[in-house]
Amino acid sequence: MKNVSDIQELLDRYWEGETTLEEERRLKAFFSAEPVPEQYRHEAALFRALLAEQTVQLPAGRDLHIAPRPAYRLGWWAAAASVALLLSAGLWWINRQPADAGAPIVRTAPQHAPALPHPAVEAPETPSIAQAVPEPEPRKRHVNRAPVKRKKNAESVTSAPGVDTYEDPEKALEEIKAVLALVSNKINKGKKEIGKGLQEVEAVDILFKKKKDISG
Amino acid sequence: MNWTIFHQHVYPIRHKLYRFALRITGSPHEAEDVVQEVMERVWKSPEEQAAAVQNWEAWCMTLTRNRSIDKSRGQTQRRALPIDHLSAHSAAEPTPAQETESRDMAARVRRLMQELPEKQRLVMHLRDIEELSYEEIGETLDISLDQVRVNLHRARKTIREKLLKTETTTPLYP
Repeated sequence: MKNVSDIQELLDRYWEGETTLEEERRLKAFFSAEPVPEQYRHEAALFRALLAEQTVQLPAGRDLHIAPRPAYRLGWWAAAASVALLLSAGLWWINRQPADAGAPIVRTAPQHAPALPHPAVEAPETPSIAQAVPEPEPRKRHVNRAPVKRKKNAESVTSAPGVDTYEDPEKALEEIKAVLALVSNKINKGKKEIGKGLQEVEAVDILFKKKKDISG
Repeated sequence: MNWTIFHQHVYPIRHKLYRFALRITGSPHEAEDVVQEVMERVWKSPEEQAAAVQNWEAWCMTLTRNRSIDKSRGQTQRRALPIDHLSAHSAAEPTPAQETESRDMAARVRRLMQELPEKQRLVMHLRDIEELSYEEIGETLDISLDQVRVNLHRARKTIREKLLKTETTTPLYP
């Protein structure tokens, strides 16, 4: 137990904000013990109140509910997959537009409304290259070999985008499927790259949020 | 957030977070809500964020402070709330005589503390009740060490003067 002069010296330093945590604990212990000298009544009141405050607790009946974390990462993948599926379906639908019901599959596209150019079914712009590097089966045939509805001006036909080049509709369908699979594969690769980028952005975002939280 | 880390570093300080929220909001109900929300926030924090935390207590205290301030923003009646609510859940079990006397004194001290300017009140709370170092207080409140010292000195000086003044009008020991 400290004597009164020691306590007075500690108190003076306490009011000035110069005491250490250990010294402040000693003051609390001194003033919480009985009896306290009469001249320190108000200091005793203060330190006892501070000690009482340290015992305040979250109500016992109050349970903290910690919900499981949401699987938001799965949600991202599901959203990306949905977008890829919609894109694929859209591309397939656009490519099949010229082949309306009742119309012949092998035909030339109207010049005023050309179909979207497609890398796999589009006629080569330079016939010499197409001839020099023949496509493997079952690939497209050159438009000049199409037996029906051949354009009189062959050059204009070969340069027109979206020209149908298949006699067999099943082969055309197979080709479209192959193209869509290729597009889907590319989208998946792109999606992975986007995922990596998103993770980096999230990391930076977390740092900003943390800094914001700390700065209040 | 890892379950083990949560139970080792976060859950045990729930009472400290509650007291801090109570000091800011002045409402036990709102303080409980703040603790719940902070716990949820910490628990749902991404692994990368959790891995970057150096001091869990300081981080949780900062979150508690921010959330409490958000909650009490616009609440003009905070200071007028019954101060006795602050000790409504004290774990101490004094005798009836001590209880009456200490409750009266403690309520007076709490009222004086609650009347301090916000920064002084929070600095004094973190130092004299939670026993944090000056560095930890500065980190929690995002203020410099000099500001911690100045605010603590002013808070204690004000409390001392008001205690003396109160004592002359209403004796602590009738």
